[in-house]
Amino acid sequence: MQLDRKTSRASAISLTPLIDVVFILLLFFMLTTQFNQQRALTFKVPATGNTPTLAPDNQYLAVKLLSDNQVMIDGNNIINTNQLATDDQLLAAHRLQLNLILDADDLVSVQALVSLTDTLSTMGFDHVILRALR
Amino acid sequence: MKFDLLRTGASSDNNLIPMINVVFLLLVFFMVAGTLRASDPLSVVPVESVQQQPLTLPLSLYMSADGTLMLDGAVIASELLPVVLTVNNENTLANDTKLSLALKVDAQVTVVQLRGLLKSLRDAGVEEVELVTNWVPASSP
Repeated sequence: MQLDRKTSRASAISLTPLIDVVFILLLFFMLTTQFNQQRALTFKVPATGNTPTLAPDNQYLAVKLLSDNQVMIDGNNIINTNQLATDDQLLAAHRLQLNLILDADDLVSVQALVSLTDTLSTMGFDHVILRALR
Repeated sequence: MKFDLLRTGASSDNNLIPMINVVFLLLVFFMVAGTLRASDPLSVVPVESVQQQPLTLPLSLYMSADGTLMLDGAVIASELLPVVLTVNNENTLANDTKLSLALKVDAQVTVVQLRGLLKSLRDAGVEEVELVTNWVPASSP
């Protein structure tokens, strides 16, 4: 009988405050946790004006991102961004291990520019250079 | 009779235990799987990218979609950026390290805005920039 009384006293401690605290902690972590993963793209800040850092033209291929998802390659060949992976000039440039100089129209968003570098990096162009600032 | 009452009291607490188990499980999941990070001082939706380099530098410069610049928690005019950065970087220059910083730019910022920002950074002697991105898995072709 004494043993019974002891157990009854122990069970008199209510679990409700514990649940309150645990719920508060749970809410806190649910509201403050961020699951998106921050990464970074490292790039050199392009030189300004007249610093001649570029080697002769034939070492490079110029790629310019135009508005409405068009890309101009080497100053004349305009293709859509989803045709990049099959473009002969880019494939040849990759074979010759040329560097790419990237330029973009003024009103293109940074997201479009980064998406283009994504596509180029999946094609194997590791060295993409941003065009010098004017 | 007394014995019966005690029993029912204990069993009402016993019914709560599975719920506590689940809540604890959720708590542990959120504590382990998530990361706590200070919220941005400026509302910036970063660029999405499939590239996976880690972010190594502490974040210091933000640019929102409307072109507002924020450096170390304070809004700053773009004309003043080279001056402030040069002053900030004097210690770093003394240590003879390459000047670099992490930059969080809104995805909707235009290239002309970015160019202006990079020109200011260049004028302040910054040579390398880490552009903060949100990693997204590559979509299968």
